[in-house]
Amino acid sequence: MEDFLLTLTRGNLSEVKIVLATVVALLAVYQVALMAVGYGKIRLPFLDPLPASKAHRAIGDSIVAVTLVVAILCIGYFGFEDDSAIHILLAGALLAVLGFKILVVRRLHRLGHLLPVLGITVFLLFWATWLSAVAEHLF
Amino acid sequence: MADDRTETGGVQTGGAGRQLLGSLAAAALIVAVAIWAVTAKLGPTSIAEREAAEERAEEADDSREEKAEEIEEAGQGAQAGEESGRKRRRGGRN
Repeated sequence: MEDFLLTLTRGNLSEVKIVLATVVALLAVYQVALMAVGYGKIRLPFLDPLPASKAHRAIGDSIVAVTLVVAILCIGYFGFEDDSAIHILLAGALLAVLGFKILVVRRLHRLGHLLPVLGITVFLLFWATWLSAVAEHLF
Repeated sequence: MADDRTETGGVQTGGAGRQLLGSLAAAALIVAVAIWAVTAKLGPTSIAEREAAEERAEEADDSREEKAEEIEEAGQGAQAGEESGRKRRRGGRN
């Protein structure tokens, strides 16, 4: 598995992970902004709530796919190291909350009132997970 | 104004379609800028190579320190040998 992932990333597994995780973290900020427009909290003359919500859904799908790729790279290569306990905990919580949010959006519509809280939680967990692993390589 | 088909097959106004496309284009721009900024920050040397170089430098430091200690110990040993020789020579004279 490790060799496969290294071949896939041409030996730059950490770099690929850092780039993808940073892209996702920045898109998470954009997602919050889009939903602020979607819920009518922010009114913009050039963007209505409905297109903002649709863009949020489309970008969210892409974010989930990229997040899964990052998770596979991380777990497949680094595994569960003891000195990364906080990162593992945050990433696990992120995947769990993200999974639950998707479930609420697609199936559990009666829990729709939880979506803003779930969204903010996912956003915070994205950044906490990013800070716990990627920040040290960039700053 | 031309209408755009939605994902679900419904019809939405061209304005909304343009807004949706604009939002997605903004996301693509964020992705491009993030990739450019992060790769510029990381530089051409991979993290694995940098870590290996740091490890090699540490090993070189360690071996240099070990050699310095060995030389020091050898010097102290030679000094001690000379002193005991002198004492022995002095004792012989007495």
